[in-house]
Amino acid sequence: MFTGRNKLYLLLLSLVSAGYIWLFWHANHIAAESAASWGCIVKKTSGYPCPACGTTRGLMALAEGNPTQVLHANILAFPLAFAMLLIPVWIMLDVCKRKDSFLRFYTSAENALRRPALAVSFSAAIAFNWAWNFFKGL
Amino acid sequence: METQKVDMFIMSSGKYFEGHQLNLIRERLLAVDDSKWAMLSTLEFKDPTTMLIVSVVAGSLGIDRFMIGDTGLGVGKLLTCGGMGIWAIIDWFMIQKSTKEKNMEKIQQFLY
Repeated sequence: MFTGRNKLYLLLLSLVSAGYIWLFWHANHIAAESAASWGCIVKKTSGYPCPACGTTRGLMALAEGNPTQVLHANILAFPLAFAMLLIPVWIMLDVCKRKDSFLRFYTSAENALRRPALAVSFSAAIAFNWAWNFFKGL
Repeated sequence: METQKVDMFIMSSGKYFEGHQLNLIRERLLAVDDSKWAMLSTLEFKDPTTMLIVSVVAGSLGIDRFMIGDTGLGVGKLLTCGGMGIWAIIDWFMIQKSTKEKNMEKIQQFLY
């Protein structure tokens, strides 16, 4: 939980921007080959897929208007795409209106995720998706 | 609070905080009532060195951020595989400071 609204907003905007830059770079036909060979550091070093493996492919499939292809990549692309679209708009609205509605939502979401029932459900969903990644051979 | 108790606390728990915060903590502890000593003794702080080890071993899954209470960033790291490893590596250098900040937040609730 952050005490400073601006610190959180700046961090999240930086992360979302990095995500867009990565996607743009990946989508570029010229850079696609080098992107594929560079890949994820975790995958390259361990050789195993992580829970988020295939998310880039999923996001690219979504960007190309092919949502069924996401199932073959990683379904985490759906919430990530939603977050990448929503977060910058919400933060910009907050900054313009000088409010902190996103910070309050973020804090309440953090508190909700700390509840045992939700934390266990979330962990189980991530573990299931991770196992699915192994099954798909990502 | 008694000087002896405060100094004992600073000596035993100093590693959990930034060096520049210790003077402030000491002053505040000297000002608070002696009856709060028992409550202070029960406070559990996260060890920055342990968090660094966790960050190196399982940082790409966001476990380090979950453990210090940054649930939102933990989810972010988990869903991006530690920012494809880059955020995880950056966090190796950031996690100790973040842990100390979290410890400071925790003791501030007690001090004020």
